[in-house]
Amino acid sequence: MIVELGHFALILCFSLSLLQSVIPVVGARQGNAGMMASGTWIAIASFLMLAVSFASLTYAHVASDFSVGNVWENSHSLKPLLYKYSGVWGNHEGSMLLWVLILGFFAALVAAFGVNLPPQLKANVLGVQGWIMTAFLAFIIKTSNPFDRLQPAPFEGKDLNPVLQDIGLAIHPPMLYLGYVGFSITFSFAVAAMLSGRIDAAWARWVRPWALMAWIFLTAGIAMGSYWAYYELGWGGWWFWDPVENASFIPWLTGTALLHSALVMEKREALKIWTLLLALVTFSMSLLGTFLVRSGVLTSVHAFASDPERGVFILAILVVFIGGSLTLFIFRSSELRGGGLFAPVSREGALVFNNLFLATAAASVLTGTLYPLVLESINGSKISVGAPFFNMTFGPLMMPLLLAIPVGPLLSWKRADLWSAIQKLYFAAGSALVIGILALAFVEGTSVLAALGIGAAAWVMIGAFAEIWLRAGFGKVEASTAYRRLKGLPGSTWGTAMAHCGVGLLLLGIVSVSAFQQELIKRVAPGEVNNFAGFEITFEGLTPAKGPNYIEDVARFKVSGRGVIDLEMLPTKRLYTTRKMPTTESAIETFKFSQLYFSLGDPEPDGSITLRAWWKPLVTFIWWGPVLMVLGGLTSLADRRLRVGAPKRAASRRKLVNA
Amino acid sequence: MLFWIVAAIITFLVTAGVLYPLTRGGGTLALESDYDREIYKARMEEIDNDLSIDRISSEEANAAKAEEGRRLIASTQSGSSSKAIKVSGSNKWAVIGSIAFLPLFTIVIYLMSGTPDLPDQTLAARLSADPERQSITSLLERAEVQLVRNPNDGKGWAVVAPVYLRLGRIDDAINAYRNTLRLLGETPVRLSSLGEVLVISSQGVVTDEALDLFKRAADASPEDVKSRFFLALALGQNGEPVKAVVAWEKLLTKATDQAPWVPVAKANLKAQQGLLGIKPTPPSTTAELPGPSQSDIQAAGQMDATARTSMIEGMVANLAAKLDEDPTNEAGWRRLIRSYGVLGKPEEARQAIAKARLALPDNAEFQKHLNEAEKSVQNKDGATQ
Repeated sequence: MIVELGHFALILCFSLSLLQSVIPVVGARQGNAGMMASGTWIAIASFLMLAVSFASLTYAHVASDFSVGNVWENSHSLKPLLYKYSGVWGNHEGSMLLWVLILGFFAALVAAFGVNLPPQLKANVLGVQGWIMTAFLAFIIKTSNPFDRLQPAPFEGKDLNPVLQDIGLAIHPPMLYLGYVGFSITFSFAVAAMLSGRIDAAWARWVRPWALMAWIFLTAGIAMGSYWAYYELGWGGWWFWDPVENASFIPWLTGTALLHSALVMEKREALKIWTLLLALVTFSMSLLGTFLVRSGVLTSVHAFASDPERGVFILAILVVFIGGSLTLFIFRSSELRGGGLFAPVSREGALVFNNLFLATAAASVLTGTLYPLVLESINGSKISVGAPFFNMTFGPLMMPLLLAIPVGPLLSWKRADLWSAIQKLYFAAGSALVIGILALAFVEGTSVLAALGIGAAAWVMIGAFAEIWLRAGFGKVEASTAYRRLKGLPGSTWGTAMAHCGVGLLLLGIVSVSAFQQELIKRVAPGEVNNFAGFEITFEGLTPAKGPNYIEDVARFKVSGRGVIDLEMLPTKRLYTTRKMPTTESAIETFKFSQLYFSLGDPEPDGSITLRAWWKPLVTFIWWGPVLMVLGGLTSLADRRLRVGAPKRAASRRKLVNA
Repeated sequence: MLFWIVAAIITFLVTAGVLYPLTRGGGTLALESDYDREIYKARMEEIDNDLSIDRISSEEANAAKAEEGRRLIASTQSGSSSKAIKVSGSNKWAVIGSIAFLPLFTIVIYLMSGTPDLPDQTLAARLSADPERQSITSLLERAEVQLVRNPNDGKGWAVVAPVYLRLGRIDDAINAYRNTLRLLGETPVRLSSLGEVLVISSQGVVTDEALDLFKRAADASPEDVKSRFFLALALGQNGEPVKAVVAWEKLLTKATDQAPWVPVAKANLKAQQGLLGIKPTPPSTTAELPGPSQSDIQAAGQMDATARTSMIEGMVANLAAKLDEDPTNEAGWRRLIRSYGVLGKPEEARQAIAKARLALPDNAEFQKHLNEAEKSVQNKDGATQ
């Protein structure tokens, strides 16, 4: 009964979202307060129904109810409990349900916490959210219903794809979806603004916290996905320019651009059209990503499969939403009046510079992702656009942007003096230069590029805090005054500095790993000792072992050096018995910010095995950087200035009487 | 029933929640310009704060304040933001629509895709209902681990193969039967078991590989019913209804009605007879020796002359050829001799008897049978002459 109630709740939610698509929007048009207010209630009720539905599917998975087709396909009675939970969204149907659950979650957030929004805007936002919800619920119920039943129930399930049986899967997709789908709110805000025709600085101010929240989730989701691929796939890489990864990265780039351009729109009422377009494009890219992943047009490490009916359905959703919103955009954008003027060299100008590069980078990644697909559909030839393409296009685009990061926040609005801003950064520039030269000496001239990269990273990281340092006036005023000013600085300034510093940290990690990584690939026999990257690695042999739903050969290594003695590292080869699928579990040991990474090749009958070892200096900065970016985002979000109070009702009642 | 009660309660609560704001009436709402004023206030505070920590100069602060002020005036004056909001307009249609639409639409869509009467079937529940099955899965799991460690354990494969089949894991079953065959050697049962799972995996089509397996099984043991069953099926699938009819009938004469495959065989027989335009007849129960049965002959009698000739001659020639290859097949000889007798070919019958005598000289009982057969042929011969 619980399963069927979940199914019923899902369909009830579908009915609700149809109402949500109509009633608040009509209410906003007619100026009917009751109908507008109903949007709030419907959104919350929808979310509750989705929660019931998701909970009942989870129940079916955890209790191994194989009369539910989705559970039978993706679960197994012997699967560890954690993966029975994560298996709920480790498959197509379940992950689509998670997708709409999060869509409903954001709509409910706006409904519950959007008290500072004008009623018309809020009603329209919820209405547009209802349209998206309706489309995706129709998709789920028609093509991917997770509640389809099997009668009689098979006795045992087919098990979850072993690659997906991992703690990373438990956290990464929900986080990614929170970011992906979070941008549906900015999309809804943009469409709502276009419906009502009111697109101004106030709109930007209302939409910014939502964009920032989605951006925080997306950043965290991508970083987590990257770390998951790093340790689970056993190739030692942290970013593969895999289409599925790109699908989440493109919205991140445009979303980052949106955050910056919305700032200009809020403060100066300029860049209105562009900001609106970014809000539409960001969610469109999320939809495109959903289509690429869910339709099965890609074959990649993200091995959830699919069928064409679904692909066509999502494509239709894609066309309707992207096409519809852009058409509306074309009509509305011509009506918009220009906002505040600014000189090319100004804070606004710097943010335009940022947008230009981020948007171009997004376009280049999009091209590299879609080109092989388009080519294949035209003449059937399968090509793969690999890392070289992205490194050649994306890398150079990022460089000017990185160099500009410290300068931007120091420019004043409207009109600024570039030279004086750069002069203010002499300390950061000098430190970066010294660090770069030291790095050059350290690498003994083998890699000039690496030294340049380290210098650039130092420039970004130190420069990020230049604004805070200068605003506080350390060295110019008394320490106590400086400290008072420091405390008075708004949270968003701190947030900006932290996020920018995170970018520098990420860059440092990337440069360090690319330039100084050491690799060892060797067939080792039991008892053999190898010296590698300052370690002494002893292979002690293979031991068979058995897990709940797999068997494995554990390779035992003893590692000494760099401050450790006889550290045990246990990379393994696993075989998941139900799907007969082998996986490699890497062993990773962290030394401060660097890591020693062991992965295995195939074992030989004589007990020897191929060891692939990497020494990755400062590799964890690649993930600590985004962590800092997320913390910066949270700091900025917590800034009370982003919150605008709701008007007091007493005041408005008087006005109504007057009106 | 409980399901519908709970579903009704949920639907009721949700509908009530949707109706609440629609029917509340007389609330108070702020004007859009009030929201703009809130933003204006917040911006003023920000600018003052920036000024107080020297983040901006006083000139910049004044310019920014002036800009905010202009913006506030512009938004208050523009029509859209100072529009009064109707607090209680006519919600009649929204109310009626929601009441009617929510429950009806939901139930209609649910009935199209849901199965309200199907209870949850959690593993725990099913295990407690049927404790024997628990041991099967745990046994299977243990056996699988053993087999991964020692993939050359033929007996192990033989044990798990039928379990896989029962659990519906056909690919695993194929693999297990192949390994059994490879490691333990061929027996008719192993051959036809592998053939059977191959047929299941190809949705009931007897593939060439499966056909070969069944032929080998049937050759090795004429008593192996499974292989004969699938060979008959293959004949039908290959568009040889005449041979198929014969094969099915032959199979059915041996069967007891309790055998699980009998209904399938009968259905196939009927279908093949249908192809030939023959009315189905009950299989002969009198024939002790399988040869062309009574119904075969009847069937042949209803066909046109060419079809009849081809049917009978094809069948008998097949049998004769097989006996030339494998002369020790006693039942085969009996069938062949009887066939010639029924067909009225005494000369061929006599030759077959002679060959059979040479083939199995030590089988006293068979020799006696041959003697009787020869007498009966001579009698018939004499009667016709």
